[in-house]
Amino acid sequence: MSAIDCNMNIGQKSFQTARILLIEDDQTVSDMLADVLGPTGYHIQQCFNGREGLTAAINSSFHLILLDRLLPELDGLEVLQRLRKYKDTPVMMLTACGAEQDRIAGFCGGADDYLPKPFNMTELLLRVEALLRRSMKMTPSRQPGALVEEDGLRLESRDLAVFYGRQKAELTPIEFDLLRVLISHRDETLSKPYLYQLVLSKPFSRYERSLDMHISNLRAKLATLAPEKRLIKTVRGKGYRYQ
Amino acid sequence: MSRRFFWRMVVSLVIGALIMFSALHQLAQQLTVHMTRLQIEHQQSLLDYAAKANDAQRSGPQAMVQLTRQVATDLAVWSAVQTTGGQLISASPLPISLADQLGFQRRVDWPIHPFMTKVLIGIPMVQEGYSFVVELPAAMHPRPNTSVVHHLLTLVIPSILLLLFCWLLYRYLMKPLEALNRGTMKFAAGDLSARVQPELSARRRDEITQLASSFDSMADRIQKLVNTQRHLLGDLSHELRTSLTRIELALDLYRRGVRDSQELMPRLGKEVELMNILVSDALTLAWLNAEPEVTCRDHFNLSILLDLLCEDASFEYPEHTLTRLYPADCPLNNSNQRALAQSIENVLRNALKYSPAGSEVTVRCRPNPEGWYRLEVLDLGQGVTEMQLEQIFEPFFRTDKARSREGGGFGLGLALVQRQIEAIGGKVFARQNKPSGLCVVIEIPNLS
Repeated sequence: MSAIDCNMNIGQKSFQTARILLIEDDQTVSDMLADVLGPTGYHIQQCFNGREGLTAAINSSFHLILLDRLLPELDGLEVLQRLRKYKDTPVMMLTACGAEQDRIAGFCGGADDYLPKPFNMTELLLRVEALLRRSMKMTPSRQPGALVEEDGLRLESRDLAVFYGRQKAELTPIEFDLLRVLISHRDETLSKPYLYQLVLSKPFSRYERSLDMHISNLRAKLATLAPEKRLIKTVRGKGYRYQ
Repeated sequence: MSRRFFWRMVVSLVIGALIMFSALHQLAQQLTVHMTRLQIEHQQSLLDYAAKANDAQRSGPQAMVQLTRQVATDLAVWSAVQTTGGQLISASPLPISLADQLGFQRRVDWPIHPFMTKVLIGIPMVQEGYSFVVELPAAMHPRPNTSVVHHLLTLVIPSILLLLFCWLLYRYLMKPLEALNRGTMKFAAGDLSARVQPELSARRRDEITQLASSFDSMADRIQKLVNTQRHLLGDLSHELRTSLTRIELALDLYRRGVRDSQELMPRLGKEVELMNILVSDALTLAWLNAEPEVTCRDHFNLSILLDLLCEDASFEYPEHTLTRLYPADCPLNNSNQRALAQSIENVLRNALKYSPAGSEVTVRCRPNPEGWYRLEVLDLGQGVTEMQLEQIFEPFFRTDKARSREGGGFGLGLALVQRQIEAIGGKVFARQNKPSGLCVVIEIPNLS
């Protein structure tokens, strides 16, 4: 999957104007990131050390901060901790330490996502998009009593249930949110990192299977309502789609 | 092992002290008795007079008077023959200074203490009821040097004995401690094989040898960890170099114009991907080695996870037949979904990779009576030898290095499986499958 493919998901124009602060000490990596993110439409500002980055993050407003874990002058975690005293700007940590502990430490510091280095650009773009969507509230929120109706399928948020004709299937809160997000992006493939961020509020990692298990449960429940339809489709290597 | 040394010390100290004090007491008494006795020749001389008194008694009172007079001249003391009625036959009357001693006559072999200044010795005579009474001459008084004896018994001998005891105790304590110190120094100097216990007596077992054994098990663990890490680092750099060499070669081919980028790009991409997997697996392995615990808080249906993994596997290996033998509902509590998913995926991929296309791979899972799950993945490939059944769980172990590397394997898969399954409290092992192939068994704890 190339970088172009995943941009098709974005749809809403307002993403393209998001301002992103890039705090990364490796000039080459920083420039390459800017080269990929810039043409996509994001406004990129680059900083090359922790102190400079923190000042920029506090003084101007950004929609997202990409923060390297190891930085000169001020460590990435330190930057994050100090920033959190003033602002709740979403932060994605870029870390070269694959070790689990570092990831956990990143979260304790208040990071919204982490991306282990090395990463590919597709992955980065997917995650950036997922975080921006979540933080800019581009998805409809679960209002009490709100109905979503799609070819006979009706979601009732008060009962946390889905109806098909007169039949009813009760869902768990996660299954409900998952179905709602999938239906509201009908015929659009939603990436796993995006769904993890949006529905499970946790970052995607290679061996994580909890989303797939929720989808599996959801499918089983939908099959009891409408056995002839296969509503949630797996797009291998990409994510899931409702059609 | 608890407080063995304490009890040993208590017993030796208490018994030692009791023996020492009673022995000293005994000795003091014996010495006192011995030193306060009249000397043998003095006793004899008094007994000689008593014998003469016997003769004199047979001769008559005059002879007895005569004898006492002679005693007075010889020894310058008063003497008499006491008759049955208590009458004294003597040349001179009983001096007033001795009057109160008449009732306290002492035998000739009784101890005479220094505080007794006037002593009357009474010696029984042949004639029933008669005795020869004589004042003990001052020259015959025993003069024991009691202060020397006293100091010897209360200070010198106990000090020497206690010094000896302390020295023995010190040796007993210090010998293993010195061995421990030597071992620690050797270990600190880099000799990771240094151990303490072989240097200690095999019969000895107490708190100090316990310390030595703790040191040894610590040294074992550190040695194992360091060796594993060294081994890991060596293997890792070897693998990285292999990948780097390929990349360098590809670049070289490109520069020389032998191959074009169209042809080389996919290969470069694949090498980078392999290196990526290698590094992340090696890091996870190193992390699990150092911190072998993961949180187990996930509750899920194991069957659904197995379904997902099997679906993915059949997609990647469409030519294999994947047989699933497990109930539709396998509730699993307090486990770790990620560790389990990664482990089962690795085992499953292994089975598919090392068995011929078209063959059958079976995934079987059933709960055992204790509520644990026993998961088996069976393939019909070449399998491994009996000896390799344990080795396959060692990092970077491969039966056929050249072949498996083409398939993207570094021999880290099963090592990771073992660490992760152990980290969630489970067990994993392999056995031969019949008629051929390998069976990997994973025992998954299910704690409600």
